[in-house]
Amino acid sequence: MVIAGKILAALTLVGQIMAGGHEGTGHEGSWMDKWLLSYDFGLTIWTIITFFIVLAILKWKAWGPLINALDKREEDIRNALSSAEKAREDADKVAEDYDEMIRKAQAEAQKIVAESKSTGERVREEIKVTAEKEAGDILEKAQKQIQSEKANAIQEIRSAVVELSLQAASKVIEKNLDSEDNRRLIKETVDGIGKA
Amino acid sequence: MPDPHSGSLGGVILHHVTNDLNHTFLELSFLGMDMSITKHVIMLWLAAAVTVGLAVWGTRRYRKDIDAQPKGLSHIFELLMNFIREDIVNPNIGLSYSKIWTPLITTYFIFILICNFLGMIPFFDYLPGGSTTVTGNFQATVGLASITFFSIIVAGSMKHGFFGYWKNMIPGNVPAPVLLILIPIEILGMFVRPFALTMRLGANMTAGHIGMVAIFALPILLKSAPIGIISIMLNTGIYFLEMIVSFVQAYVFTLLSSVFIGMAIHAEH
Repeated sequence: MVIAGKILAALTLVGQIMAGGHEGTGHEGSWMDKWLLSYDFGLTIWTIITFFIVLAILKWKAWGPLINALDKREEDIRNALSSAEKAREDADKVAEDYDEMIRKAQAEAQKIVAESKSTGERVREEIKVTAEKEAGDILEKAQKQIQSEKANAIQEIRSAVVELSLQAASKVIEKNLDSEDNRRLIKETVDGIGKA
Repeated sequence: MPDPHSGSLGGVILHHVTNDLNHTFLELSFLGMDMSITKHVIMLWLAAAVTVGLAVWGTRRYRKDIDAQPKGLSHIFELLMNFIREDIVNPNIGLSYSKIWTPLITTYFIFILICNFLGMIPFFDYLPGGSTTVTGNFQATVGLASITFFSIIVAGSMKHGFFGYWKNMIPGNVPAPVLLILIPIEILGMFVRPFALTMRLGANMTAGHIGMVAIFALPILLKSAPIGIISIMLNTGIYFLEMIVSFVQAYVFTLLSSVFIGMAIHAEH
């Protein structure tokens, strides 16, 4: 309580001194007046000069390089981001192209398979037709050959029969009948045998 | 640190928050103006040196190699630059003008912040001549705000042309009698904005210091050690508060400057 009272008293005193000032100072008027009215214009000029020197040096040596560095970094980051974006887009495009390629290859493969199937079918068909035709030809040829062989054989058999008949007849009649008339006669007979 | 010129508490406080014009390191005069090197000018140069040193050292990597990776201090500068560009300059001034105004706005922030913080280092009280906080001096904040004032005009003139900028001060689509009121308000507003910047920064940086000195004066006034302990605890808290205030005021000055510059550029009435 005592301390509180003392603080109160002191604050009142300080307040009085600072507000009025006349009681406290006594000389050269109020210090408040001196404080507010004395104007040291030199300091204002010095402040402006000093500030501009500081500004010039800092702009030249500190802020300029700092701002450039920050701007450059910002620019770099922006570029890096956009190039990353571009790289991603490129990769997407490549992947798309790749997919497209695979799709195309698959389609191509299917087409090739289908084509070869149809080609195979056709070739098979052709071969079959050719084979059948060839077989027919061979058969026909064989039949013709058989026919001619048969004709030949019959002719040969006839000749042989004529010869044998002549031999047999000559033996039978012990007479050489090897004349042109006899031969013709026998031939006619044999021909008649073939026809009988 | 008692002031030899004034034995009163008010004098002590005044000494701690103002620039002692009677104590100059070098008497200088230019065109009739008193350009003497006072403690605040020294602190201003110190802040400038720290600002330039930190920024130039922190961004050395980027001067050597534009593709440098952030490391150590350059992290902070990258964060700061990104924050100022993305959250202050681009929304208020616009992307197309970002390149022109970002260096100014960034320099505002870091320079004011370092001035504020240098003022909070008690060791600079050993340097004779009064307060250590340059930004607590209205004359210095007038300097900073007048840069904003001219930047607004330059920004407006760059966008709309010199006469176009002044024409933008006249609001369109309002009856003539209203213009009689609006034009003075616009012109007043032109001066009020930097004035508000001046006062906000200066008063905020002064107020904390006045508060801290006043609280430290309590145990002396009351001749009491326990109150001394209390005042130390209190001031420790206020010190942290002041650090936040330093950040906030640097941010507010920066933000409002860019808002005002943006308003001049996007003056579509």
